[in-house]
Amino acid sequence: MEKMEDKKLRALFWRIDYTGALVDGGVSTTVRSLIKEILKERHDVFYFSGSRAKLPSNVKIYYFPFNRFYRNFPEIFALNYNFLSFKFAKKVLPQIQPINFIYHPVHDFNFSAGMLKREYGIPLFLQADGVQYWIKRNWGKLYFSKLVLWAEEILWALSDKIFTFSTQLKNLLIEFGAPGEKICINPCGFDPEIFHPQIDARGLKETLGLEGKFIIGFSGTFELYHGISFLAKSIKMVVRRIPQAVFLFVGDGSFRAQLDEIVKQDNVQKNTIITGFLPFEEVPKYLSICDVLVSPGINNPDGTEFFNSPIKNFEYMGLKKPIVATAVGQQKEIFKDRWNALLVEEKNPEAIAEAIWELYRNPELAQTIATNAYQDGIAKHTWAHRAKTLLDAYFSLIKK
Amino acid sequence: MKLLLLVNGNAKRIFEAQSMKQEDFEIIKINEKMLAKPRKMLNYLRQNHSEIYFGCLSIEFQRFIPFMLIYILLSKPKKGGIIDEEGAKVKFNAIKTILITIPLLIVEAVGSFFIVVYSFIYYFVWRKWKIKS
Repeated sequence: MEKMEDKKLRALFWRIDYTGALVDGGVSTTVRSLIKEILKERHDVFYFSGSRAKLPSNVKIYYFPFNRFYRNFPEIFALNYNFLSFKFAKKVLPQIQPINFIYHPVHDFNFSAGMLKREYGIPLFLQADGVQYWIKRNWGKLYFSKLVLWAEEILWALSDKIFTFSTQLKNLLIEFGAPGEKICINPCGFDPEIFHPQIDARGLKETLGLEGKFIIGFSGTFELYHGISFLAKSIKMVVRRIPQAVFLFVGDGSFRAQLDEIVKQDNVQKNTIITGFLPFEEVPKYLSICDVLVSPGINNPDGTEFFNSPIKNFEYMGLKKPIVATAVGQQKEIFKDRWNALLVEEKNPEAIAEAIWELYRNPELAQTIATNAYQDGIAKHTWAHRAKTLLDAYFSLIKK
Repeated sequence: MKLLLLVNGNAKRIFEAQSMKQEDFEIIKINEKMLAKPRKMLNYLRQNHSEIYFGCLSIEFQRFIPFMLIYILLSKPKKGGIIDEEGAKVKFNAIKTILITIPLLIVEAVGSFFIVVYSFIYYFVWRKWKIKS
């Protein structure tokens, strides 16, 4: 008899983001990676999207464009898209049925996936990267606060499972009323076929003028919670001790101007390279030429703990590089000081500089923590592990 | 000297796609939030530039284009446009901006008001009754 787990599934991924897929950020990587792993298990994947999507060719993509008219006043285009996306989805869904489950990264003001669930009864799995209300209030601008909250509450109520990235985020979701029994922690991960220790980056050091340099790398979006300014302030301290040190920032974001300012003020332009956003496939090459990789995340200004699950942490592990990370949130859980990373105090450029200096003068320690991080990453933190958690959740739901 | 106000995207890729020369431009990195700060924006726009361009990743997905055109209208040179990494371009035209872009923006504002009112009712009904039934 065929086991339930051997059944070929038909999964629908539904991403609302407007321009998200134009920039390879965390949500794009997460969704793309989970899809890749589910395809490897020979399931079928369908994709509804509000933006262009870079996905494997065997994913059937349905693009639901935003209204071109209502997009110049804050949040209106998102409100309007709640109705529009549901209308599109209702039209397309009958063509691709039967669908076993919908996987949906939550987006502000939008509960169209909830409406679809109510109409068709398809299990709905949410991916909660945060509490949208909290994110808008603390990191953006909060207009129509009730509507943001209501949309999220509707989705939480109608969902079957809420996947979130960290214990800290689970606590925040519960604080805002999400049902704790539905929440499943499924951190980010990495793809060992893309991030591995044998990347061929020949010529890149020469191109960037980095031959003979000690390279300290960072990758990601330059947002407040990534603590980019504290890493920037550590540059001059590191350069004082290691004159050939160069900091390679792979990414871009809203704190770019602040980073440029610190680099200029500290007169370390010669020791800093900022690449801007690179295509995802280029990132591993850039990180592979680094001698140390840093994850300087910080707790949130309103007192909540750092709740992210930075993909960079897992990618750093896959590259088998020595890691310096701040002891905040999930980083305290996945990294053990002096075993698979050097953990340092948050918001402390001296501590970051000291840790980099220690790895520079103690290559043996650098080698040990890099090896441990790699082994740990392969054993526990690949996207295959995360996709398994997702599929297991589906099978256990069906068994019930 | 021309001015590129880089909203998002990569200046080098924009110039390549538009067959423009980077050395002809002064580049200032801004973000979408900055568009809501007219005083700061006008500071950039009232300097001695021959043309003003806003640069972005993709015009197809770029929001706030009418506001950018209005800024060019208020700038000293009143010349330029919006350019992206994909080679697309919106050329500034003062008459078109005054007669089409601005009136459409007003219509959009009125329509937006109704969307907000409708959304409040719709979301309220869903939260109160539909998720429970």
